[in-house]
Amino acid sequence: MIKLSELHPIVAGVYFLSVLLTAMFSSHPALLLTALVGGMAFFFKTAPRTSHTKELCFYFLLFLLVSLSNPLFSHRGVTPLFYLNNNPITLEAFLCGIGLGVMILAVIFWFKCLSAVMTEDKILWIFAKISPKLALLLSSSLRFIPMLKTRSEKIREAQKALGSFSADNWLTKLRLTLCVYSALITWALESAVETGASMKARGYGLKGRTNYSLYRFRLADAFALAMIAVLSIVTLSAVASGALSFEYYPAVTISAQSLHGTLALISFGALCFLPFILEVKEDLKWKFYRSRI
Amino acid sequence: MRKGKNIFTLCILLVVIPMVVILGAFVFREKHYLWISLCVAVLSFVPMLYAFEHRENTSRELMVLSVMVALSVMGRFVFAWVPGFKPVTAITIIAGIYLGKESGFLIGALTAVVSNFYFGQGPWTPFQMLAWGLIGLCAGLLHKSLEKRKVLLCIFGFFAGVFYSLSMDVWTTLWLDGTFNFTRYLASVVSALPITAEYALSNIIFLLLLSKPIAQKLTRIKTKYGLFIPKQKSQTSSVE
Amino acid sequence: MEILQVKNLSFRYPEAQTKALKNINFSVSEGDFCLLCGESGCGKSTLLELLKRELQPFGERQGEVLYQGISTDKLPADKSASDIGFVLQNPDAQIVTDKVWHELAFSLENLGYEQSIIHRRVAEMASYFGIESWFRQSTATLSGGQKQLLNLVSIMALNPRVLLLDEPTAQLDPIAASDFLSTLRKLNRDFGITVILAEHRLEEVLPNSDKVLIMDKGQLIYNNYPKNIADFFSRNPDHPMLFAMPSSMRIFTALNSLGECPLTVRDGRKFITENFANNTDALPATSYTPSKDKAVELKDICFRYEKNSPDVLRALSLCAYKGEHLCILGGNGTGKTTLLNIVAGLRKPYHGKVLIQNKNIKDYKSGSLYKDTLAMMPQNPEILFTENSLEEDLQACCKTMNLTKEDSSAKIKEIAEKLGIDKLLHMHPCDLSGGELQKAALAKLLLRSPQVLLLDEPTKGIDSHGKKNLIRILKTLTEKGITVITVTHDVEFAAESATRCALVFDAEVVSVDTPKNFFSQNSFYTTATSRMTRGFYKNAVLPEDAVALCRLNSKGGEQK
Repeated sequence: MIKLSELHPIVAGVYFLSVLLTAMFSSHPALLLTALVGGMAFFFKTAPRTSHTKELCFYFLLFLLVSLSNPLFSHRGVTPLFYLNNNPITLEAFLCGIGLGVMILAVIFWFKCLSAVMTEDKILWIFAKISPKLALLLSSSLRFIPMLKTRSEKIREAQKALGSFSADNWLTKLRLTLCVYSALITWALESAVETGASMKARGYGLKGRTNYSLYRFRLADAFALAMIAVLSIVTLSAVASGALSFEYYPAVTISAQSLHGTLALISFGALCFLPFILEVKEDLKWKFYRSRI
Repeated sequence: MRKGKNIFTLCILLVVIPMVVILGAFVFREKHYLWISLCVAVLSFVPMLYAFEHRENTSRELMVLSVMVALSVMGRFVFAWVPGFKPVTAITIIAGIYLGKESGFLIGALTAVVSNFYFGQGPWTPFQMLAWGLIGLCAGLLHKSLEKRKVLLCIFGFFAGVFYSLSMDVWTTLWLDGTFNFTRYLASVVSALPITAEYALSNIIFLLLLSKPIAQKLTRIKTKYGLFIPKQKSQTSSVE
Repeated sequence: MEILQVKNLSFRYPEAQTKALKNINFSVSEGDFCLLCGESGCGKSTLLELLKRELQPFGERQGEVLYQGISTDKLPADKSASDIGFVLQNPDAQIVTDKVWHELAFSLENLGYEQSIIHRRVAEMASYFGIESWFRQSTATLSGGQKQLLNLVSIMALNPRVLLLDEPTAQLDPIAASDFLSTLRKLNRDFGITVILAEHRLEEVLPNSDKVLIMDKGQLIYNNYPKNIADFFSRNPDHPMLFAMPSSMRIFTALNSLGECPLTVRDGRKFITENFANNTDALPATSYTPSKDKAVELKDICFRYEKNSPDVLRALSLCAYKGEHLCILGGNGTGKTTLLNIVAGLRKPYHGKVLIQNKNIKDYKSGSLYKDTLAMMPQNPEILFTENSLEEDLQACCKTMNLTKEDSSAKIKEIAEKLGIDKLLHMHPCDLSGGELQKAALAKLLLRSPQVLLLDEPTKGIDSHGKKNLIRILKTLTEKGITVITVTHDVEFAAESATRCALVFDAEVVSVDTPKNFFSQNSFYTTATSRMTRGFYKNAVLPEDAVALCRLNSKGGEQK
């Protein structure tokens, strides 16, 4: 199997959809923890090695905030730890908060992985399947932004050198920014009209427009898609049938261990660690090749 | 072939989507409120997208829409040095007023997607799209009064800011609890109060500062190139 | 066979008093390389837009355009879109999508081709034009020349029979422009594609064209082979388009010569050496002593953009004296613009000193530098304007200078009249042409009566007439003691207008000299006239110099 980032956008899309939905909608701690660890493993394997500690600290604080604040809002549960303003702070609510924290972190990490894997090209491909016109609109917006960025920098310098915004205070700075933004709008609208002309000259607006993409659906994609589908169905069916249900309220109850539930946990584990394993496999493969060269 | 494709699309709309919603609600029964709200957010784009896909836009109109999205995202970069003070909602409102309700919706919704390419996608993206889209849509619906009276425009801007913040809080609550926990909602509304005020205030300020210049600029290119003219009018002008 | 025929074509824009085009008739044979020239505002762009049905401007049209004998109005939509390609001036604004591969496929998608056909066509195009290495890049990362090539290629994907190009190289630097033109030439030669090219820079294009069309005030005044243009100008010696012509032709016409007109440097050289002697081989040297006051002084400037990036400028020292026009020349990416930004105080060197009017730039606190000392014109002057009309914009600028309404109106009027833009004051800045915009920008800068004026590539996108105007304006400014520093690629402009020229190379200033010495000592980086007379005459830099020397050497003013 090949790396997730090299798979067809539809396969990668289905993959993230199924992992994210499971992570967002199930409350079973084992599932959530698997999702979190899998997501973090893939993220730290692929993301560049900078600013990790700072990010981790932030997420840890977020985790604390969510899990500690939950008992303040939710007073359900049968095991009161103590009372605050005549409201019970319950053990169940506290545990539920921890579960929530894990869920949020898992979802955040998986979205980070999604952003890394689903590049603009791939997201546009998916949009083009839904609405080709919308995809074109998005694509040209993404093309305009860097152009406007360079432009706004140039306008800022030119306006600064005009001398109208010379005082060193924030009000002048704000006026300069507004002036730059306003000039940017004028110019952007003019060039949009010119772009429109160039589109028309190249036949935009004729009937039966097609959509070209660089992605081919290969055998590896079909194989990966089948695998992802099987693993997701096993997991989701267990969640649906209650084989992996987990209730915090009124008291923490966990569904009895069953074959279906165990199978689902294993499949979800496989699903979550799949991209990480593929990355590691790729590394090893190259190491092996290099040692042979 | 083309017709067959249309029927296929219709089948998806009428059969598959409700099935997905019902099945999802069944599968995720512990959090079915969240599931349904997510589905509603995503599905509310379907009619809009359908209308957009089948409307005849000239290439120039399309590019003006696209550059408005880019400009509103640029607003986040240009004003990056003032925390919380962003013209995104104001631009969406102005676009809705001067370019029509559909354009307002599209510009609002797409701004959310495109700016999240730079600031990070998350489960909140569909809700952000919906909130901004609706603000643009409403601005387009109320364009007659908003165009004339600055006071109304400011009031609209204020409520747009409050609406955006409140609807994002609904999402936060649903996400955290699976059901709608009112205490938590209240708490998140209260804790977000400074941000809400900031949204509302910056909307008002930006509407006051930007509505006139942008209106002039949009009107200029609208008249110069004959863009965004409602159907009946364009027919009479082509007869001339 | 005639591929395009234009019959009695007239056009009037809505609400315009006069017609933009008056009764134009011409035809173009298949495979012709056709050059369309004329001053800006003569109707070139309107004519080209009328040839492409999709781009026809709103307005009143008479007459017709036939493509392969069929009126373009009656062509099937897909044929019209694919057979006639159009490249616009601005390389940036024509790109629609965010990726190079998507841009290449865009036109093919519009015409509804299948995935497999698009794939093959795109691959073929990318390979032929050598853009495989940036095939998957974002369009935003490309250089101006690459962008314009991409625009051309994405049109070529549709297999057009006719290419219309509206000043495609106006925004490019000379090397990129020359590359673009040779690609165009190759397409014409190797595939028989008919080309109609509107251009300002004729030195390179004219000799290679099959046919030249010259327009003036909406009329077609010349429609013939390039070699016959000299006859036309001998009949109309005062026509302003003469200044846009290649130097060899200008020398030829100025000497009232007969016979075949030379178009290239090679032929011009042959013409001079065969017809004239070189007994007097140099013009009397005119000495130039700059004023003693230093307006701008750079001492050992070192600059880099980031800590670990290489130096853009290395220990650079340069001095501009009061009342002179210093032209800084150099190739692409040599740091010319950076140098200008440093003088303008927009970038800070990490080592060295910048003195403006003998005062360290650091001592000009809170923008006092820009109040009445220094002004800079950016490469794209339109970014200076923020209001909806020129007058409002200039008024707004006066307001920040705390002038009363009457004072500012008087001042605006005075400057506008001096620059010849008093009739344009009510216009929206975006509706001005390149030359007009530049004059408007100069007006805005001159409102503050700066002592030092910095210009970044002022001749970009401007026709020969606009250039002449600019030279005249700069002359009056320097005579008043204003110091002008220009960064430019345009050697002809530098030779004609500068008091001194400097060459920046490899992050340093290599040579500084008067244009006469500078260009007559350079062998490659020099004017066409200088190349034409190299080794024959010593200091002929401008066509006028060559003409004067030729006259001196042909006794009695006749050819030998």
